[in-house]
Amino acid sequence: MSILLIARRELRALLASAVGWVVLCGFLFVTGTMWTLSVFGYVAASSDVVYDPYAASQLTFTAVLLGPWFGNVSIILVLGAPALAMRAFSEELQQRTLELLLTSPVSTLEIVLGKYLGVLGYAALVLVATSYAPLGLFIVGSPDIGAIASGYLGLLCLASCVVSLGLLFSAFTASQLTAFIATFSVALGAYLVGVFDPDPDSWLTQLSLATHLVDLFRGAVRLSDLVYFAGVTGFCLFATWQRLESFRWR
Amino acid sequence: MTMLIRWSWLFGLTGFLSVVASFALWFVLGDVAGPPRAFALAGSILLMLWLILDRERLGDTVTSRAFTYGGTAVLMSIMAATLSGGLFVLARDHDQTWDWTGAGSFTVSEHTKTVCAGMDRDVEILAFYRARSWPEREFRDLARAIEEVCPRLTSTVVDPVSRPSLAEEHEVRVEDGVLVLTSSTGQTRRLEGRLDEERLTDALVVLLADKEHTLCWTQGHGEPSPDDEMSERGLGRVAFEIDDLNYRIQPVLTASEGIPRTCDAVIVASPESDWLPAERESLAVYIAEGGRVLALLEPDWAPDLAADFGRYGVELRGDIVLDLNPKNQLLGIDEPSFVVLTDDNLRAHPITASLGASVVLGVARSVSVDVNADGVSAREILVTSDQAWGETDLMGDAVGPDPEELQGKVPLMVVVEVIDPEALGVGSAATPKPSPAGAEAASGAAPTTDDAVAEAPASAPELDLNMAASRAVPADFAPSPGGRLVVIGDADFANNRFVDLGNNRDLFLNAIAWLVDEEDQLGERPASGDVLELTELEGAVLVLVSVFGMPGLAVFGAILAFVRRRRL
Repeated sequence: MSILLIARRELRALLASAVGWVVLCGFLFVTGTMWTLSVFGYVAASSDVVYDPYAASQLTFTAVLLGPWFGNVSIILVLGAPALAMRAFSEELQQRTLELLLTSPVSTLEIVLGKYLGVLGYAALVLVATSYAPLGLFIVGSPDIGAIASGYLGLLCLASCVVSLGLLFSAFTASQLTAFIATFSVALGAYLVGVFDPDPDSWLTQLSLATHLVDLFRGAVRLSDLVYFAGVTGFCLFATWQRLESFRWR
Repeated sequence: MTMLIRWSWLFGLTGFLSVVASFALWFVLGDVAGPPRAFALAGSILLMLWLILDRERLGDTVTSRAFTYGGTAVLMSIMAATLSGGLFVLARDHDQTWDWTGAGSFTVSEHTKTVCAGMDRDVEILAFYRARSWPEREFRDLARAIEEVCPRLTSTVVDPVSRPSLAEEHEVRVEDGVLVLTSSTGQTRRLEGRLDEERLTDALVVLLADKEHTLCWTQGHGEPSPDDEMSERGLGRVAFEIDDLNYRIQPVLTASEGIPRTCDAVIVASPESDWLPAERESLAVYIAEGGRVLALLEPDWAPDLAADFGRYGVELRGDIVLDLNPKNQLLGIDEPSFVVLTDDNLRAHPITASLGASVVLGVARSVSVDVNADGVSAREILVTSDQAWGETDLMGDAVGPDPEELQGKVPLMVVVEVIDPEALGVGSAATPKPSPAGAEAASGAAPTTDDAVAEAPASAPELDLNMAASRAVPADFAPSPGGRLVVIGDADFANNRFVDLGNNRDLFLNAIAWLVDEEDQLGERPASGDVLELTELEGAVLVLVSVFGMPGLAVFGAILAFVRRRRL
């Protein structure tokens, strides 16, 4: 129960903060512009392939429009989610309210999970706000609802990882900017690290966030991908918990 | 000694750097012997020295509260990371994939399952891909999925760079994407370039087929060419699909060549002008000798040919089928002549059994059967809803069902099997009299494109075309039961514009497969692409909503939130 109360408080704080609205507006503008360009590109491609049977058979909403768009949204998410998570503990450290929080009758783990769910909830709201784009396709065509759901599951998994990483870094510094830069740098590095290795089975590629999003953006939900995202999130939250515990024995 | 202890951290630092350098050299040189070992040894000695010299301070640190708790936290975090990594490795080794796509893009299609179920010999695939590349991974995923439903199929991935002799043996000149399929009976087939499930399955079909079927494509009456992939009316796209299977398309000029006996099936695709009696007789001879024919006959065109199908118990009326049932109309198109046929409209037959989606016909004519016709077994397999009729008065002001018109469930596609070829009347001096409906079609409904050609046979009886017809019957004519006929009152469904809609492509390919007895090829194939067209208004709305509308709403929400906050 305490977890949900903390989560609600965190969500309200984000809805009342400038950062939350800037992220929402910026996210909707950039993803909306990308969507518009993608759709126009798809329409042009549709007219180009009318008399090319093979190209026409490969031109599907999922593969050519939704998948790449989800990829673009994921990059924006890597930039936006750290901005949502950066204030979680940094602000408490800066305003010296963390001690107050730690001495309240809730466990450290509940605090971590509450803040995590609050920030993730806001990230989910931002993602839901973008759903008008793929769902609008139903007006002019028949997109694959399963592929859309799978794509959003992938984005939510990515948001979960980046938010938990943001919580970890924000627990280490009182500066929100430092927490943002550190989270963004590590998340972007983790996203792109697979680019440097052409081997899909190498540990470097398997470490990459992007590698585990590829199939989700195409409509295939793999157990290994879900375990990867759960593992990264779990580890970051655990490390955040340990970090906050250290304030108790210092 | 005190000085040495004071600066002992330098030993520690140098030792640590030496150990790091040792690992770096090992990584670069690929061998632990030599410099890596020397650095490791030196680093270890320096670290030992540091530990001995600075033991008191280290002891204090180790026993401190911060070290104890901090060390435990770090250790637990490492354990958490190890646990996460272990679970991931376990999940990857026992991976499961859930296909959320409606089209089943990550699930083996019914067509592939049918082909696999019919495999009567083992097939081995040698796949030449660069090791540890994305195309190799995609192939492995595909092969794993197909091998689950194809127990007689095995695949081996070969890196052409690491095994050049094997690559040379199979003439592999590119690094990625060459598949060599070999059956246990020695036949081979090669695939290069793009790879997907459909193409692999088609290659299997061709490999397993005992022969290549010759499909004769009749020409000379304005039929669309099988090479025409450009025009809307062309049938090049569906012909492209046929080419990937064990079929070979052979154009046939029926007026000069007749119908060759070497044809495994004949495709009569949308003739604009009529067939001469000799040509019609040649077709009848072919069917009577056990031949197979797919006829796509558009409304009004080739009325005499349409009427001649009466001898097979098929009645092609001179009408256009209109269906008012909303379920049978294209969404957004207020045009009842575009008929969408769903599950409810398909009658049980191997051709229609596997069609899961809809079939979209353009402007179609009704095709019914005479169940009492002699020598044939005929069935209707595609019918409209009961709110349809066959409109004959196309020029009239009041379009609607009239008593003399076909009403209710109007048939659009029929199949015929010839039991007694003697009953077809082949070889008689004159061609059989066209059925009344056919005659009505020939005289009542004016051809829309080439009136002169269409009316020529009726206006020039003095040419003794009946004699020409009798000449179409060869001296060694040998009637044989087993002839098959599929007649559809529409050709648009298979043209370049419509073929990717619903199950249109499957309907065409299934009809051919049934005609040539390739039962393994019947099935619903993987879904094809989506085409998107936007009007200018739709484009403007898209920009307005995506770029301005939604972000604008968020800005409005932000202003409201801050105004409300300031008031508090």
